[in-house]
Amino acid sequence: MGTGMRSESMMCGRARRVLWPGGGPRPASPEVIDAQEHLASCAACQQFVRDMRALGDAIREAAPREQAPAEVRGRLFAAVARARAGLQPSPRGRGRASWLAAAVLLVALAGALTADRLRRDGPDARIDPISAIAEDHATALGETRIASADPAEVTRWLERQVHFAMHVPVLPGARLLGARLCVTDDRRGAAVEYEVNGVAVSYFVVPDGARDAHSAKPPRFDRTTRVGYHVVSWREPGLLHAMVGNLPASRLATLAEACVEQARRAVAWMGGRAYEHEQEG
Amino acid sequence: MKETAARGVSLIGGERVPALGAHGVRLFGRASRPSEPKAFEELLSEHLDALYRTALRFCGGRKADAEDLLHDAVLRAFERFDELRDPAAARAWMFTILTRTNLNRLRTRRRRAETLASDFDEHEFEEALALWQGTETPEEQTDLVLQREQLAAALDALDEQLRPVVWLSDVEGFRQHEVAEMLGIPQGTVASRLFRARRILRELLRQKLPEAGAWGRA
Repeated sequence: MGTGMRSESMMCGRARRVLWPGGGPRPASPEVIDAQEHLASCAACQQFVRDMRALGDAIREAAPREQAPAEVRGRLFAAVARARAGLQPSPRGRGRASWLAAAVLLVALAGALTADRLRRDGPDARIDPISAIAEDHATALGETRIASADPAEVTRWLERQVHFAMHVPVLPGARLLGARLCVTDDRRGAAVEYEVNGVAVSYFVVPDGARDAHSAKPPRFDRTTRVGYHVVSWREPGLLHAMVGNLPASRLATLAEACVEQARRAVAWMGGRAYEHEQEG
Repeated sequence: MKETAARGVSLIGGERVPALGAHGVRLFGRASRPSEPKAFEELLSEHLDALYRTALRFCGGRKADAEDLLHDAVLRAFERFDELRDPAAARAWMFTILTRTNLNRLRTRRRRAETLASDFDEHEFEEALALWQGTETPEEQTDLVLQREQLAAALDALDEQLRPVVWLSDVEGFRQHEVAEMLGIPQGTVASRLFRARRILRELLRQKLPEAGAWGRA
């Protein structure tokens, strides 16, 4: 390599460093002006800038987009809850199994406390059922469930498990995975499981003591966040419905509206009895 | 990077973290703690997936290590939440804590020096830049189609001090001066590590994707 070539190479290296893509705005120093003049006349450096941008774009486009698993999410929010309560967080790494056990224990304890308080103090003293639902979504650990993408099969299975008529909606953009049971206030509820763009979404229908809801009115959707999940809930007499997941609340609301609309049609088709607390004869 | 208490610094895991500037992290009294009791949980929920992915990459794809790292970082963030005033800066603030927590864990584990022994100085960086073999045709520019699994494996195979730079810059979209502050290294070092990471990724993927366009050249 001759002196001229080495000098040209040095100019390329310096220009590329000085004008490094993503380096932000630069003062118009003599070094920058020289580099810009070089870049304007050097095809190799222009190609270098294009290559760097293309590589950055390609990496961004193809980057893996894992989501925090539900159990990790549950453990993290449980740790924050413990910290908020002023408790010493359990050390990570040494006690993963005990973390899981503690989470299960907490949920079981919350359920027992709910039932106990309900028995002693009446419905006004109940623990927030929305929180219980969101915790169930976070900590579902493989209890009684059915895995099926067939709404009719899931419906039949659920109706053998719960004491209310159950409609399993076909939600737009959602893949039905199956269903499981959930227990709140010592009563069985249903949790239908979906996947929406790789995100787990649960549709809960659980018995509810609130009697203020009226079936003749369109349901009111309430949006909230519990244990790190968005929750869109609505009520009808005797039942609480909730859509839970790590989707934007607006997307969950769209699913909830579709759910209500399908249920309304099912009620009409079944002569208004779909949501009555009666078993089909 | 030397910060003074007057300019506002924060201690995160024993590290002095710049408390003003790109991250918008500031020190406030207890009275100005965010008023909503669950504000931290909402913030965490919003960014948790991205933080988890980042922790996963920092830990080379090892899920158990990533969860440990994330756990420590989240609790540190919770303890220091009253220092965050500007919601717009929350994302960078949480990533800063995660990055610093990771650095602390690496140092504790390996007692490694802050700077890679092989970090380029300015002259070496210019030489390496000058040796770049560019793509030859415009068509190759449109051929940068990568498989997620292959890129994940290639990212996880990178040196653990190159990985955070390419992830935070190219994937999470932080500006290079923000990455420099997160990692506590000069911006020029961010640029040289980013260049090296991209060059290595191209080479790694060239071996795995023999017919891929621009990736197929050393």
